Amino acid sequence: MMLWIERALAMLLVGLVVVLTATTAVSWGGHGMSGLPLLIHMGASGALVFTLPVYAIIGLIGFSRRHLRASMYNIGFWGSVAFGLPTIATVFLCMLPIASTDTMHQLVSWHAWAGYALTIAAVVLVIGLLRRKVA
Amino acid sequence: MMRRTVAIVFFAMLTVVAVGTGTAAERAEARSDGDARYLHHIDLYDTDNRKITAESTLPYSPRNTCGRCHDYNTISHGWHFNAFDSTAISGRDGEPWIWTDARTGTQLPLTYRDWSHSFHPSQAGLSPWQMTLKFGGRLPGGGPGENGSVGDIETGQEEQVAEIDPPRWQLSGSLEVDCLACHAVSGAYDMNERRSQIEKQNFAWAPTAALRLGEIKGDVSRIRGKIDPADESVQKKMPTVTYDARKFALDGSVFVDLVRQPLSNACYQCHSQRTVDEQGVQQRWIHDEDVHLRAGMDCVDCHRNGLDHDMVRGFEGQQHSNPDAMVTLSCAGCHLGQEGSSDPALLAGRLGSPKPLHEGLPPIHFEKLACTACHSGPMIDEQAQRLMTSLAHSLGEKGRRKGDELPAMVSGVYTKRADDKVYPHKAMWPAYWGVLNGDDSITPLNPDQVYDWTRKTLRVRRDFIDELMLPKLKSDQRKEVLGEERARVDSEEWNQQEQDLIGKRQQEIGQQNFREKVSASLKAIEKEIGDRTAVYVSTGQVYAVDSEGTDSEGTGLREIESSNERDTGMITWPMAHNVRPAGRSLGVGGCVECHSDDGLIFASTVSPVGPVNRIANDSDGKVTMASLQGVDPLQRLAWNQMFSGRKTFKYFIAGSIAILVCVLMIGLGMLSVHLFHKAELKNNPLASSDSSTPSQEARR
Repeated sequence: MMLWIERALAMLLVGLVVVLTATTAVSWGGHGMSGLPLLIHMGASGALVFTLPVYAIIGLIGFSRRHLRASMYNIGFWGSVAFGLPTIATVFLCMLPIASTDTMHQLVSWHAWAGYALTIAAVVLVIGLLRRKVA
Repeated sequence: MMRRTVAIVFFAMLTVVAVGTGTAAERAEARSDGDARYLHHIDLYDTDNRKITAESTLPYSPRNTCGRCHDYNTISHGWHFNAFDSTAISGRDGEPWIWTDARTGTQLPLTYRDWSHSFHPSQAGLSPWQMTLKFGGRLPGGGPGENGSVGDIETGQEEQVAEIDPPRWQLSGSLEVDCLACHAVSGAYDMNERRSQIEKQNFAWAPTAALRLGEIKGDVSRIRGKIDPADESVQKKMPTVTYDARKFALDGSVFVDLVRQPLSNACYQCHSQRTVDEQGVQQRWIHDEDVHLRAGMDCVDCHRNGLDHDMVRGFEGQQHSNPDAMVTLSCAGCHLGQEGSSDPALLAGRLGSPKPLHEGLPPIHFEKLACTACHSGPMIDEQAQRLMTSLAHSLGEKGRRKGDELPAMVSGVYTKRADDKVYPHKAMWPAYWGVLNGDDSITPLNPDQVYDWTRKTLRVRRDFIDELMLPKLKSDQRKEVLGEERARVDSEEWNQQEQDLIGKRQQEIGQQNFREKVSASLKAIEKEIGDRTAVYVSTGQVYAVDSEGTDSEGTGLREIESSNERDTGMITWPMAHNVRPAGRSLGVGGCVECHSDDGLIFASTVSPVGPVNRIANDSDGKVTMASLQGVDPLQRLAWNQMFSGRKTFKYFIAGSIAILVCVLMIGLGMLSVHLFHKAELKNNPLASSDSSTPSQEARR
């Protein structure tokens, strides 16, 4: 049962990361995000804030039952947690009335890099999931 | 011998020319170059370039007096002096000249500049002479009449004024650049006296009168009939100056009390504005002055210029003669510096300007909003407020203003400009009589001509609104509404309900008047203009007359659909003052001040204002700022809902971060235990049979 919940959460997480990455496409040309893409990005990030910690707890329980070895899935899991944390934390700092415009630009830049690292972790996670299914 | 003489004469002439040119150049560049104020005890020169004494009778000429030491020609192409020059660089839209005639319900925006929102005066058949006479009181001189020429919109060529309007220019003289309109110290220059002389068509006498150098007797406007300046009878009627002998020192010089940097008081002569509410013109004491002035600055500390008088208007992207020097004189340039530049000259902090941190404000706001959107103009209200300005309403002149005088304009219209940012704007709706063209455009008619043609049909003596749209009720009409007893009572004693009833009746009669008289006037105009359709435009509506009289009252007045928004719709120009401090800026109350259903930058409304209330249909034409900005209502709703839970969401994010940190710590702990066991195993292989990793333990 736990395994299925873990898998479902992993899939949900991957789906959210896909949406979040796709909506940043408009900013690749150097433009800031705005309008509908930003709205979708904000909505999806709200879902990520709830999904990632739940997945991290379930995944940790599952991880404690597995062999501690460098499988693709494990790397994907820990990568998601490790890069998800700064992705969320940078946005959280932006939401507090403490960061100036310059600081906020810096935080947004870190958010973007952490977010792209999370995307890579999500890709590894998907590969790990597929491998586990095949095995 | 002959050749030798010719050569001597030729070289003598060259020498004279060279010396003359040198002197002119030296004169043009005369400067004190010190920071201290240079006292101007100077000789005055008249319009014939003769030195003025106490016995002189001709007016003093700024060109011949100031121009002796300062390069008048260079100065005269400056921003304020090229307002009537259609070949000058136009820059961002500004307040147009609004030709207002309360008798015919006209408020026609005009400009010689290539601005998107107004008509060129020549389109309305208005000559530079008429424009100078109407608006010269708010112009510091220059432009038409100077050098006997005026820029021409069609060709960009200069056209001789004499060919446009020969006789009156020759009598009035030219309205020279009046340096002291701005450079005189407060109290030394009487702007109202200047306006009075311009109204009298005494253009050349205006600078003398304004400085109170003497008494002006005579009035060019009273010289009628055949106008020949050489005619002795005309000469006799020409204005003359009686100079005040006390102004002249023993050496014949005059002390002109002036400053290099104009004081803000001089700017206020033409750049004041007052907001208006239901009670009338808002009192000054309830408003704060611009935060920069409060900090001790003057207008010219930001709005600077060199000798060419190319004023820094203060917006980003201004095409300026000295582009580098003006970068840090805009809001962002001064407070934030040039983005990405390490040039010390382009750093922020000029004159000690504080660098705003905008803590917690996502940077996207700087892509969507101009600085002025949050910091400028009156505090944003539920609907755009009526406004009066110096240029449009002659603020600064003695008068009894109620606040509803034409031209009707509003402030606090938050809409986008070409850079896709939201700016606060002033706005107005053109109201004029014109001719409908085949392409749906409308050409305005000359307002003076319209008055002549409609005088008998409109029958308005002074005010289109008071006499036609909201006429005072007669005694029997009041009785009909309030009953005999209450109708006799003084109107100030009526209660709110009675006032409303009277107001409603006034509007009904006004609508009837409007239909009858405007219809008759349009017919009268059509008689004059031949086989063309005359229209009256007001508050975004276009009225024409149908000869068959198809409306219910049989007047024939009909509202026609015009797709030409440019000629009929709202016109806007950005406003930047007064600047409010951070504590009074928009959004200081947090995100939901804007990102909520009643966030005023989106939810505030604006309704068309003008001589005519929109009577043809039930809609009052009210629109929200969100629709002017092109904001998708569904997206706005989604954003608002998202922001309504933002405060709570912050706690969830904090919780989420805490969980992730814990998971990572546990993970790191597990890893370190695993590595410790692995190391122990390597050092003591015998322990392998007894030991196992925590995960293996867990699996068991």
